[in-house]
Amino acid sequence: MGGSPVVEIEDLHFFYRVGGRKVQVLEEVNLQVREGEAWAVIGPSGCGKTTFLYLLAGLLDPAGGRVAVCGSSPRQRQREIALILQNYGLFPWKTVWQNVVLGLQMRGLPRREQARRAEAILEELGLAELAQRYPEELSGGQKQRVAIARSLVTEPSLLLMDEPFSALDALTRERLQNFLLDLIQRRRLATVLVTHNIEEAAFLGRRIAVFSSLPGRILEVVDNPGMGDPDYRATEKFWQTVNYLRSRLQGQRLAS
Amino acid sequence: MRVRRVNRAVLNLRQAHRAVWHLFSWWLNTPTLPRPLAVLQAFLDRRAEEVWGHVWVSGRRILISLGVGLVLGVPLGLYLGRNRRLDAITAPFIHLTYPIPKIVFLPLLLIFLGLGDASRVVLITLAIFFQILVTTRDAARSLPQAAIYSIQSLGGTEWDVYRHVLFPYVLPRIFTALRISIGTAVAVLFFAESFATNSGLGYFIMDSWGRTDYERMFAGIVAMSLLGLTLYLGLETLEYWLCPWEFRGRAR
Ligand SMILES: Nc1ncnc2c1ncn2[C@@H]1O[C@H](COP(=O)(O)OP(=O)(O)OP(=O)(O)O)[C@@H](O)[C@H]1O
Ligand SMILES: [Mg+2]
Repeated sequence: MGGSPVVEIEDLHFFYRVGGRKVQVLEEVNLQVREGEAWAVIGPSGCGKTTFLYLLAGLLDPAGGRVAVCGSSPRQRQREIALILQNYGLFPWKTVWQNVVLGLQMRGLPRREQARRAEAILEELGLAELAQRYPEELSGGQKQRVAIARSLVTEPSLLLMDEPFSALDALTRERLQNFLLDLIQRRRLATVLVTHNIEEAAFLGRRIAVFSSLPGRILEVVDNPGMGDPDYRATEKFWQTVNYLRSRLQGQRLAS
Repeated sequence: MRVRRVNRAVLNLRQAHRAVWHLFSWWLNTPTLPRPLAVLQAFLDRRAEEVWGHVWVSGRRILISLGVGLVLGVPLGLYLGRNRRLDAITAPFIHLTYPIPKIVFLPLLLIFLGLGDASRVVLITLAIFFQILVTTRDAARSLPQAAIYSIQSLGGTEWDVYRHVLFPYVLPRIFTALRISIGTAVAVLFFAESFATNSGLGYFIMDSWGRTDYERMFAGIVAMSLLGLTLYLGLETLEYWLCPWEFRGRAR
Protein backbone atom coordinates (compact mmCIF):
# COMPACT_ATOMS: atom_id res chain seq x y z
CA MET A 1 0.00 0.00 0.00
CA GLY A 2 2.85 2.39 0.73
CA GLY A 3 2.32 5.97 1.84
CA SER A 4 3.74 7.67 4.90
CA PRO A 5 2.52 6.61 8.34
CA VAL A 6 -0.39 8.65 9.69
CA VAL A 7 -0.55 6.84 13.01
CA GLU A 8 2.43 5.37 14.85
CA ILE A 9 1.87 3.50 18.06
CA GLU A 10 4.81 2.07 19.96
CA ASP A 11 4.55 -0.02 23.08
CA LEU A 12 1.37 1.71 24.21
CA HIS A 13 0.22 1.13 27.80
CA PHE A 14 -2.80 2.48 29.57
CA PHE A 15 -4.65 1.97 32.85
CA TYR A 16 -7.66 3.47 34.58
CA ARG A 17 -7.68 4.19 38.27
CA VAL A 18 -10.73 2.73 39.92
CA GLY A 19 -11.06 3.50 43.62
CA GLY A 20 -7.30 3.93 44.04
CA ARG A 21 -6.60 0.66 42.22
CA LYS A 22 -4.99 0.50 38.80
CA VAL A 23 -6.86 -1.43 36.14
CA GLN A 24 -4.55 -2.21 33.27
CA VAL A 25 -6.51 -1.77 30.04
CA LEU A 26 -3.97 -1.76 27.21
CA GLU A 27 -0.61 -3.49 27.10
CA GLU A 28 2.23 -3.39 24.58
CA VAL A 29 0.16 -2.22 21.66
CA ASN A 30 2.17 -1.61 18.49
CA LEU A 31 0.57 -0.49 15.28
CA GLN A 32 1.10 1.69 12.21
CA VAL A 33 -1.60 3.13 10.01
CA ARG A 34 -0.45 4.40 6.64
CA GLU A 35 -2.04 6.98 4.41
CA GLY A 36 -5.19 5.64 2.78
CA GLU A 37 -5.15 2.52 4.90
CA ALA A 38 -8.29 1.23 6.61
CA TRP A 39 -7.89 -0.66 9.88
CA ALA A 40 -10.55 -2.49 11.79
CA VAL A 41 -10.09 -3.23 15.47
CA ILE A 42 -12.06 -6.11 16.87
CA GLY A 43 -12.06 -7.71 20.29
CA PRO A 44 -14.23 -8.93 23.14
CA SER A 45 -16.45 -6.50 25.01
CA GLY A 46 -14.62 -4.42 27.61
CA CYS A 47 -11.14 -5.17 26.24
CA GLY A 48 -10.26 -1.51 25.76
CA LYS A 49 -11.24 -0.70 22.16
CA THR A 50 -13.00 2.54 22.99
CA THR A 51 -10.14 3.52 25.28
CA PHE A 52 -7.75 2.81 22.42
CA LEU A 53 -9.61 5.23 20.16
CA TYR A 54 -9.68 7.91 22.86
CA LEU A 55 -5.90 7.60 23.09
CA LEU A 56 -5.58 7.95 19.32
CA ALA A 57 -7.88 10.97 19.37
CA GLY A 58 -5.86 12.68 22.10
CA LEU A 59 -8.72 12.63 24.58
CA LEU A 60 -6.69 10.50 26.98
CA ASP A 61 -2.92 10.40 27.44
CA PRO A 62 -0.91 7.16 27.36
CA ALA A 63 0.50 5.83 30.62
CA GLY A 64 3.47 4.49 28.71
CA GLY A 65 4.78 4.24 25.17
CA ARG A 66 4.12 6.61 22.34
CA VAL A 67 1.23 7.61 20.12
CA ALA A 68 1.90 9.91 17.18
CA VAL A 69 -0.46 11.22 14.54
CA CYS A 70 1.26 12.79 11.53
CA GLY A 71 4.44 12.87 13.59
CA SER A 72 3.13 14.73 16.67
CA SER A 73 1.09 13.94 19.73
CA PRO A 74 -2.64 13.54 19.01
CA ARG A 75 -3.50 16.47 21.27
CA GLN A 76 -1.54 18.73 18.96
CA ARG A 77 -3.09 17.17 15.89
CA GLN A 78 -6.65 17.21 17.15
CA ARG A 79 -7.80 19.29 14.21
CA GLU A 80 -6.61 16.67 11.74
CA ILE A 81 -8.38 13.85 13.55
CA ALA A 82 -12.07 13.11 13.29
CA LEU A 83 -13.73 10.85 15.84
CA ILE A 84 -17.21 9.41 15.58
CA LEU A 85 -18.36 8.30 19.01
CA GLN A 86 -20.32 5.18 19.81
CA ASN A 87 -23.63 7.08 20.19
CA TYR A 88 -22.90 9.56 17.35
CA GLY A 89 -22.13 12.47 19.72
CA LEU A 90 -24.48 14.90 17.96
CA PHE A 91 -25.62 17.89 20.00
CA PRO A 92 -29.41 17.87 20.49
CA TRP A 93 -29.46 21.67 20.80
CA LYS A 94 -27.99 22.20 17.36
CA THR A 95 -29.69 21.59 14.04
CA VAL A 96 -28.12 19.26 11.49
CA TRP A 97 -26.62 22.29 9.79
CA GLN A 98 -25.24 23.74 13.02
CA ASN A 99 -23.79 20.37 13.99
CA VAL A 100 -22.07 19.96 10.64
CA VAL A 101 -20.70 23.48 10.55
CA LEU A 102 -19.39 23.39 14.13
CA GLY A 103 -15.89 22.10 13.42
CA LEU A 104 -15.38 24.72 10.73
CA GLN A 105 -16.76 27.46 12.93
CA MET A 106 -14.32 26.55 15.70
CA ARG A 107 -11.47 26.65 13.21
CA GLY A 108 -12.44 30.21 12.39
CA LEU A 109 -13.29 29.65 8.73
CA PRO A 110 -15.18 32.46 7.02
CA ARG A 111 -18.94 31.96 7.03
CA ARG A 112 -19.12 31.71 3.28
CA GLU A 113 -16.55 28.92 3.20
CA GLN A 114 -18.32 27.13 6.03
CA ALA A 115 -21.57 27.21 4.07
CA ARG A 116 -19.93 26.08 0.85
CA ARG A 117 -18.33 23.04 2.47
CA ALA A 118 -21.35 22.14 4.57
CA GLU A 119 -23.65 22.31 1.56
CA ALA A 120 -21.33 20.09 -0.46
CA ILE A 121 -21.04 17.41 2.20
CA LEU A 122 -24.76 17.41 3.06
CA GLU A 123 -25.49 17.01 -0.63
CA GLU A 124 -22.99 14.18 -0.92
CA LEU A 125 -24.49 12.30 2.02
CA GLY A 126 -28.06 12.91 0.92
CA LEU A 127 -28.86 15.11 3.91
CA ALA A 128 -29.59 18.41 2.20
CA GLU A 129 -33.31 18.25 2.97
CA LEU A 130 -32.72 17.58 6.65
CA ALA A 131 -30.43 20.53 7.32
CA GLN A 132 -32.87 22.44 9.52
CA ARG A 133 -33.93 19.45 11.65
CA TYR A 134 -32.76 18.71 15.16
CA PRO A 135 -31.08 15.33 15.81
CA GLU A 136 -34.12 14.10 17.73
CA GLU A 137 -36.12 14.49 14.55
CA LEU A 138 -33.92 12.01 12.64
CA SER A 139 -33.79 8.24 12.25
CA GLY A 140 -30.77 6.29 13.50
CA GLY A 141 -29.28 5.96 10.02
CA GLN A 142 -29.76 9.65 9.33
CA LYS A 143 -28.08 10.57 12.61
CA GLN A 144 -25.17 8.36 11.69
CA ARG A 145 -24.81 10.07 8.31
CA VAL A 146 -24.89 13.47 10.01
CA ALA A 147 -22.12 12.32 12.33
CA ILE A 148 -20.08 11.24 9.32
CA ALA A 149 -20.76 14.52 7.54
CA ARG A 150 -19.74 16.48 10.61
CA SER A 151 -16.43 14.59 10.81
CA LEU A 152 -15.55 14.68 7.13
CA VAL A 153 -16.41 18.33 6.52
CA THR A 154 -13.20 19.38 8.29
CA GLU A 155 -11.19 17.26 5.84
CA PRO A 156 -9.31 15.25 8.44
CA SER A 157 -6.23 13.10 7.79
CA LEU A 158 -7.43 10.41 10.15
CA LEU A 159 -10.92 9.09 10.73
CA LEU A 160 -11.67 7.19 13.94
CA MET A 161 -14.98 5.42 14.43
CA ASP A 162 -16.36 3.60 17.45
CA GLU A 163 -18.95 0.97 16.51
CA PRO A 164 -20.45 3.34 13.98
CA PHE A 165 -23.30 1.13 12.79
CA SER A 166 -24.06 -1.08 15.77
CA ALA A 167 -27.39 0.58 16.56
CA LEU A 168 -28.77 0.16 13.04
CA ASP A 169 -30.88 -2.54 11.44
CA ALA A 170 -29.05 -5.02 9.17
CA LEU A 171 -30.19 -3.45 5.91
CA THR A 172 -29.34 0.12 6.82
CA ARG A 173 -26.05 -1.06 8.24
CA GLU A 174 -25.00 -2.71 4.97
CA ARG A 175 -26.05 0.30 2.97
CA LEU A 176 -24.02 2.62 5.18
CA GLN A 177 -21.04 0.27 5.17
CA ASN A 178 -20.98 0.40 1.36
CA PHE A 179 -21.33 4.12 1.52
CA LEU A 180 -18.48 4.50 4.00
CA LEU A 181 -16.26 2.19 1.97
CA ASP A 182 -16.80 4.38 -1.07
CA LEU A 183 -16.10 7.55 0.94
CA ILE A 184 -12.84 6.44 2.49
CA GLN A 185 -11.58 4.95 -0.76
CA ARG A 186 -12.28 8.10 -2.74
CA ARG A 187 -10.63 10.27 -0.10
CA ARG A 188 -7.80 7.85 0.57
CA LEU A 189 -8.52 8.43 4.23
CA ALA A 190 -6.55 6.68 6.96
CA THR A 191 -9.24 5.01 9.06
CA VAL A 192 -9.44 3.11 12.32
CA LEU A 193 -12.80 1.49 12.89
CA VAL A 194 -13.66 -0.23 16.15
CA THR A 195 -16.38 -2.82 15.98
CA HIS A 196 -17.54 -6.03 17.54
CA ASN A 197 -19.30 -7.02 14.37
CA ILE A 198 -17.00 -9.54 12.69
CA GLU A 199 -18.50 -9.11 9.23
CA GLU A 200 -18.13 -5.36 9.48
CA ALA A 201 -14.45 -5.76 10.32
CA ALA A 202 -13.95 -8.09 7.37
CA PHE A 203 -15.81 -5.82 4.99
CA LEU A 204 -14.18 -2.50 5.92
CA GLY A 205 -10.75 -3.42 7.30
CA ARG A 206 -7.82 -3.80 4.97
CA ARG A 207 -6.02 -4.90 8.10
CA ILE A 208 -7.81 -6.25 11.10
CA ALA A 209 -6.28 -6.02 14.57
CA VAL A 210 -7.67 -8.69 16.89
CA PHE A 211 -7.50 -7.61 20.52
CA SER A 212 -7.29 -9.99 23.45
CA SER A 213 -9.60 -9.69 26.44
CA LEU A 214 -8.63 -7.32 29.26
CA PRO A 215 -5.89 -6.10 29.38
CA GLY A 216 -6.13 -5.58 25.64
CA ARG A 217 -3.15 -6.62 23.54
CA ILE A 218 -2.99 -7.17 19.83
CA LEU A 219 -3.25 -10.94 19.40
CA GLU A 220 -2.88 -10.88 15.68
CA VAL A 221 -3.10 -8.60 12.67
CA VAL A 222 -5.11 -10.24 9.90
CA ASP A 223 -4.37 -9.14 6.38
CA ASN A 224 -7.48 -8.76 4.25
CA PRO A 225 -6.36 -7.95 0.70
CA GLY A 226 -9.68 -8.95 -0.85
CA MET A 227 -11.63 -6.06 0.67
CA GLY A 228 -12.50 -2.90 -1.22
CA ASP A 229 -15.16 -4.27 -3.53
CA PRO A 230 -18.79 -3.59 -2.57
CA ASP A 231 -19.63 -7.17 -3.59
CA TYR A 232 -16.93 -8.64 -1.37
CA ARG A 233 -19.56 -9.99 1.05
CA ALA A 234 -20.67 -12.54 -1.56
CA THR A 235 -17.23 -14.07 -2.02
CA GLU A 236 -15.63 -17.20 -0.60
CA LYS A 237 -12.65 -15.19 0.59
CA PHE A 238 -14.86 -12.91 2.70
CA TRP A 239 -16.42 -15.82 4.58
CA GLN A 240 -13.05 -17.44 5.09
CA THR A 241 -11.84 -14.25 6.75
CA VAL A 242 -14.99 -13.98 8.84
CA ASN A 243 -14.69 -17.58 10.02
CA TYR A 244 -11.05 -17.17 10.81
CA LEU A 245 -11.73 -14.04 12.88
CA ARG A 246 -14.54 -15.78 14.69
CA SER A 247 -12.31 -18.69 15.64
CA ARG A 248 -9.66 -16.28 16.93
CA LEU A 249 -12.19 -14.40 19.04
CA GLN A 250 -13.93 -17.44 20.45
CA GLY A 251 -10.87 -18.33 22.45
CA GLN A 252 -11.24 -15.07 24.42
CA ARG A 253 -12.90 -14.61 27.78
CA LEU A 254 -15.29 -11.74 28.39
CA ALA A 255 -13.85 -9.00 30.58
CA SER A 256 -15.28 -9.30 34.07
CA MET B 1 -48.39 26.63 20.94
CA ARG B 2 -47.55 26.34 24.56
CA VAL B 3 -47.52 30.03 25.40
CA ARG B 4 -50.99 30.52 24.00
CA ARG B 5 -52.28 27.52 25.90
CA VAL B 6 -50.90 28.91 29.13
CA ASN B 7 -52.48 32.26 28.29
CA ARG B 8 -55.88 30.70 27.81
CA ALA B 9 -55.60 28.65 30.99
CA VAL B 10 -54.73 31.78 32.91
CA LEU B 11 -57.70 33.65 31.43
CA ASN B 12 -60.11 30.87 32.42
CA LEU B 13 -58.62 30.88 35.86
CA ARG B 14 -59.07 34.60 36.17
CA GLN B 15 -62.69 34.41 35.03
CA ALA B 16 -63.49 31.69 37.53
CA HIS B 17 -61.67 33.61 40.21
CA ARG B 18 -63.56 36.75 39.41
CA ALA B 19 -66.91 34.96 39.60
CA VAL B 20 -66.13 33.47 42.98
CA TRP B 21 -64.90 36.78 44.21
CA HIS B 22 -68.09 38.50 43.04
CA LEU B 23 -70.24 35.99 44.88
CA PHE B 24 -68.25 36.33 48.05
CA SER B 25 -68.29 40.09 48.13
CA TRP B 26 -72.02 40.12 47.40
CA TRP B 27 -72.65 37.69 50.15
CA LEU B 28 -70.37 39.22 52.76
CA ASN B 29 -71.24 42.72 51.69
CA THR B 30 -68.18 44.18 53.35
CA PRO B 31 -65.87 46.89 52.03
CA THR B 32 -62.84 44.67 52.86
CA LEU B 33 -63.71 42.67 49.76
CA PRO B 34 -64.71 45.22 47.15
CA ARG B 35 -66.38 44.05 43.97
CA PRO B 36 -64.07 43.31 41.04
CA LEU B 37 -65.66 46.11 39.04
CA ALA B 38 -64.74 48.57 41.73
CA VAL B 39 -61.20 47.22 41.86
CA LEU B 40 -60.96 47.37 38.11
CA GLN B 41 -62.20 50.91 38.26
CA ALA B 42 -59.64 51.76 40.88
CA PHE B 43 -57.03 50.06 38.77
CA LEU B 44 -57.85 52.06 35.66
CA ASP B 45 -58.95 55.16 37.48
CA ARG B 46 -57.20 58.44 37.19
CA ARG B 47 -56.73 58.23 40.94
CA ALA B 48 -54.94 54.92 40.49
CA GLU B 49 -52.64 56.18 37.82
CA GLU B 50 -50.11 56.15 40.62
CA VAL B 51 -50.27 52.33 40.58
CA TRP B 52 -48.38 52.33 37.34
CA GLY B 53 -45.56 54.31 38.84
CA HIS B 54 -45.22 51.69 41.56
CA VAL B 55 -45.49 48.82 39.05
CA TRP B 56 -42.60 50.33 37.20
CA VAL B 57 -40.48 50.71 40.36
CA SER B 58 -41.17 47.14 41.47
CA GLY B 59 -40.74 45.70 37.99
CA ARG B 60 -37.40 47.42 37.65
CA ARG B 61 -36.24 46.10 41.02
CA ILE B 62 -37.14 42.53 40.07
CA LEU B 63 -35.64 42.73 36.61
CA ILE B 64 -32.36 44.12 37.91
CA SER B 65 -32.25 41.43 40.60
CA LEU B 66 -32.94 38.68 38.09
CA GLY B 67 -30.32 40.12 35.76
CA VAL B 68 -27.65 40.38 38.45
CA GLY B 69 -28.57 36.95 39.83
CA LEU B 70 -28.17 35.45 36.36
CA VAL B 71 -24.96 37.26 35.49
CA LEU B 72 -23.36 36.11 38.75
CA GLY B 73 -25.02 32.75 39.26
CA VAL B 74 -24.85 31.20 35.80
CA PRO B 75 -21.14 31.60 34.99
CA LEU B 76 -20.15 30.64 38.53
CA GLY B 77 -22.47 27.62 38.44
CA LEU B 78 -21.08 26.52 35.06
CA TYR B 79 -17.52 26.92 36.29
CA LEU B 80 -18.11 24.99 39.51
CA GLY B 81 -19.92 22.24 37.64
CA ARG B 82 -16.95 21.84 35.33
CA ASN B 83 -14.17 22.03 37.95
CA ARG B 84 -14.41 19.18 40.40
CA ARG B 85 -11.76 20.48 42.76
CA LEU B 86 -13.13 23.99 43.23
CA ASP B 87 -16.60 22.50 43.45
CA ALA B 88 -15.50 20.28 46.33
CA ILE B 89 -13.99 23.26 48.14
CA THR B 90 -17.01 25.54 47.75
CA ALA B 91 -19.76 22.94 48.16
CA PRO B 92 -19.81 23.01 52.01
CA PHE B 93 -20.04 26.81 52.01
CA ILE B 94 -22.93 26.75 49.54
CA HIS B 95 -24.62 23.98 51.50
CA LEU B 96 -24.51 26.08 54.66
CA THR B 97 -25.65 29.36 53.14
CA TYR B 98 -28.28 28.04 50.76
CA PRO B 99 -30.94 27.26 53.39
CA ILE B 100 -30.60 30.56 55.30
CA PRO B 101 -33.73 32.65 54.64
CA LYS B 102 -32.17 35.67 53.00
CA ILE B 103 -34.96 38.06 54.02
CA VAL B 104 -33.58 38.23 57.55
CA PHE B 105 -30.80 40.42 56.17
CA LEU B 106 -33.16 43.25 55.32
CA PRO B 107 -32.36 45.30 58.45
CA LEU B 108 -28.63 44.91 57.86
CA LEU B 109 -28.95 45.87 54.22
CA LEU B 110 -31.04 48.90 55.10
CA ILE B 111 -28.32 50.00 57.52
CA PHE B 112 -25.42 49.43 55.15
CA LEU B 113 -26.94 50.30 51.79
CA GLY B 114 -29.46 52.92 52.84
CA LEU B 115 -33.18 53.12 52.24
CA GLY B 116 -33.05 53.40 48.45
CA ASP B 117 -33.31 50.84 45.67
CA ALA B 118 -29.95 49.21 46.34
CA SER B 119 -30.82 47.48 49.61
CA ARG B 120 -34.01 46.00 48.18
CA VAL B 121 -32.43 44.89 44.93
CA VAL B 122 -29.58 43.25 46.83
CA LEU B 123 -32.03 41.41 49.08
CA ILE B 124 -33.96 39.95 46.13
CA THR B 125 -30.71 39.13 44.34
CA LEU B 126 -29.41 37.30 47.41
CA ALA B 127 -32.58 35.26 47.59
CA ILE B 128 -32.54 34.12 43.96
CA PHE B 129 -28.78 34.00 43.37
CA PHE B 130 -28.39 30.77 45.31
CA GLN B 131 -31.29 29.12 43.54
CA ILE B 132 -29.76 29.94 40.17
CA LEU B 133 -26.26 29.01 41.28
CA VAL B 134 -27.20 25.63 42.72
CA THR B 135 -29.44 24.64 39.80
CA THR B 136 -26.83 25.65 37.25
CA ARG B 137 -24.02 23.90 39.09
CA ASP B 138 -25.95 20.67 39.51
CA ALA B 139 -27.01 20.68 35.87
CA ALA B 140 -23.46 21.37 34.71
CA ARG B 141 -22.16 18.52 36.86
CA SER B 142 -24.44 16.09 35.06
CA LEU B 143 -23.07 16.82 31.59
CA PRO B 144 -22.04 13.44 30.09
CA GLN B 145 -18.32 13.01 29.45
CA ALA B 146 -19.17 11.84 25.93
CA ALA B 147 -20.45 15.32 25.06
CA ILE B 148 -17.13 16.85 26.12
CA TYR B 149 -15.19 14.27 24.12
CA SER B 150 -17.44 15.00 21.18
CA ILE B 151 -16.61 18.72 21.07
CA GLN B 152 -12.92 18.18 21.87
CA SER B 153 -12.57 15.68 19.05
CA LEU B 154 -14.00 18.32 16.71
CA GLY B 155 -11.11 20.56 17.70
CA GLY B 156 -12.93 22.53 20.38
CA THR B 157 -11.11 24.49 23.07
CA GLU B 158 -12.21 24.86 26.69
CA TRP B 159 -14.12 27.99 25.70
CA ASP B 160 -15.92 26.00 22.99
CA VAL B 161 -16.92 23.44 25.62
CA TYR B 162 -18.64 26.21 27.59
CA ARG B 163 -20.16 27.92 24.60
CA HIS B 164 -21.32 25.04 22.44
CA VAL B 165 -21.94 22.30 24.99
CA LEU B 166 -22.18 23.24 28.64
CA PHE B 167 -24.26 26.40 28.31
CA PRO B 168 -26.90 25.06 25.88
CA TYR B 169 -27.05 21.83 27.86
CA VAL B 170 -27.81 23.73 31.06
CA LEU B 171 -30.02 26.48 29.60
CA PRO B 172 -33.41 24.71 29.85
CA ARG B 173 -32.70 24.02 33.50
CA ILE B 174 -31.78 27.64 34.11
CA PHE B 175 -35.25 28.49 32.86
CA THR B 176 -36.74 26.07 35.35
CA ALA B 177 -34.71 27.72 38.09
CA LEU B 178 -35.92 31.13 36.94
CA ARG B 179 -39.55 30.08 37.04
CA ILE B 180 -39.11 29.13 40.67
CA SER B 181 -37.05 32.24 41.33
CA ILE B 182 -39.79 34.53 40.06
CA GLY B 183 -42.12 33.30 42.78
CA THR B 184 -39.40 33.87 45.35
CA ALA B 185 -38.48 37.23 43.89
CA VAL B 186 -42.04 38.60 44.02
CA ALA B 187 -42.47 37.40 47.61
CA VAL B 188 -39.19 38.92 48.72
CA LEU B 189 -40.00 42.08 46.81
CA PHE B 190 -43.25 42.49 48.71
CA PHE B 191 -41.42 42.06 51.98
CA ALA B 192 -38.58 44.37 51.04
CA GLU B 193 -40.98 47.10 49.97
CA SER B 194 -43.10 47.07 53.08
CA PHE B 195 -40.46 48.79 55.23
CA ALA B 196 -39.00 52.25 55.20
CA THR B 197 -39.85 53.23 51.66
CA ASN B 198 -42.48 55.15 49.74
CA SER B 199 -42.29 53.44 46.42
CA GLY B 200 -43.04 50.04 44.96
CA LEU B 201 -46.12 47.84 45.00
CA GLY B 202 -45.34 46.45 48.44
CA TYR B 203 -45.45 49.95 49.84
CA PHE B 204 -48.55 50.78 47.81
CA ILE B 205 -50.45 47.80 49.17
CA MET B 206 -49.40 48.33 52.77
CA ASP B 207 -50.08 52.05 52.52
CA SER B 208 -53.60 51.46 51.13
CA TRP B 209 -54.22 48.95 53.83
CA GLY B 210 -53.17 51.50 56.44
CA ARG B 211 -55.61 54.01 54.98
CA THR B 212 -58.30 51.30 54.77
CA ASP B 213 -58.70 52.16 51.11
CA TYR B 214 -59.47 48.60 50.07
CA GLU B 215 -60.15 49.31 46.44
CA ARG B 216 -56.74 50.86 46.16
CA MET B 217 -55.23 47.96 48.10
CA PHE B 218 -56.74 45.37 45.76
CA ALA B 219 -55.62 47.38 42.78
CA GLY B 220 -52.11 46.95 44.19
CA ILE B 221 -52.59 43.24 44.72
CA VAL B 222 -53.89 42.78 41.18
CA ALA B 223 -50.94 44.78 39.85
CA MET B 224 -48.52 42.61 41.78
CA SER B 225 -50.11 39.43 40.46
CA LEU B 226 -50.00 40.82 36.95
CA LEU B 227 -46.33 41.64 37.42
CA GLY B 228 -45.60 38.04 38.39
CA LEU B 229 -47.70 36.74 35.53
CA THR B 230 -46.03 38.99 32.99
CA LEU B 231 -42.58 37.88 34.13
CA TYR B 232 -43.68 34.26 33.93
CA LEU B 233 -45.08 34.59 30.42
CA GLY B 234 -42.01 36.57 29.40
CA LEU B 235 -39.86 33.65 30.53
CA GLU B 236 -41.97 31.13 28.62
CA THR B 237 -41.60 33.19 25.48
CA LEU B 238 -37.89 33.66 25.98
CA GLU B 239 -37.40 29.94 26.48
CA TYR B 240 -39.36 29.25 23.34
CA TRP B 241 -36.97 31.48 21.40
CA LEU B 242 -33.73 30.46 23.07
CA CYS B 243 -34.32 26.71 23.39
CA PRO B 244 -36.24 25.81 20.24
CA TRP B 245 -34.94 22.24 20.35
CA GLU B 246 -36.88 21.71 23.59
CA PHE B 247 -40.14 22.23 21.74
CA ARG B 248 -39.36 20.14 18.66
CA GLY B 249 -38.82 16.52 17.79
CA ARG B 250 -41.18 15.27 20.44
CA ALA B 251 -44.64 13.97 19.83
CA ARG B 252 -46.98 16.18 21.78
N1 LIG C 1 -13.71 5.92 32.87
C1 LIG C 1 -13.35 4.68 33.25
N2 LIG C 1 -12.89 4.46 34.49
C2 LIG C 1 -12.53 3.23 34.89
N3 LIG C 1 -12.58 2.14 34.12
C3 LIG C 1 -13.04 2.27 32.88
C4 LIG C 1 -13.45 3.55 32.37
N4 LIG C 1 -13.85 3.39 31.10
C5 LIG C 1 -13.70 2.09 30.83
N5 LIG C 1 -13.21 1.40 31.88
C6 LIG C 1 -12.88 -0.03 31.92
O1 LIG C 1 -11.84 -0.25 30.99
C7 LIG C 1 -12.07 -1.39 30.20
C8 LIG C 1 -12.08 -1.02 28.72
O2 LIG C 1 -13.20 -0.20 28.44
P1 LIG C 1 -13.57 0.20 26.95
O3 LIG C 1 -14.76 1.05 27.00
O4 LIG C 1 -12.36 0.73 26.30
O5 LIG C 1 -13.94 -1.25 26.35
P2 LIG C 1 -14.49 -1.62 24.89
O6 LIG C 1 -13.55 -2.59 24.32
O7 LIG C 1 -14.78 -0.40 24.10
O8 LIG C 1 -15.84 -2.35 25.27
P3 LIG C 1 -17.20 -2.45 24.38
O9 LIG C 1 -16.89 -3.38 23.25
O10 LIG C 1 -18.16 -3.09 25.33
O11 LIG C 1 -17.57 -1.09 23.97
C9 LIG C 1 -13.40 -1.96 30.65
O12 LIG C 1 -13.13 -3.12 31.39
C10 LIG C 1 -14.05 -0.89 31.50
O13 LIG C 1 -14.69 -1.47 32.60
MG1 LIG D 1 -16.57 0.52 23.36
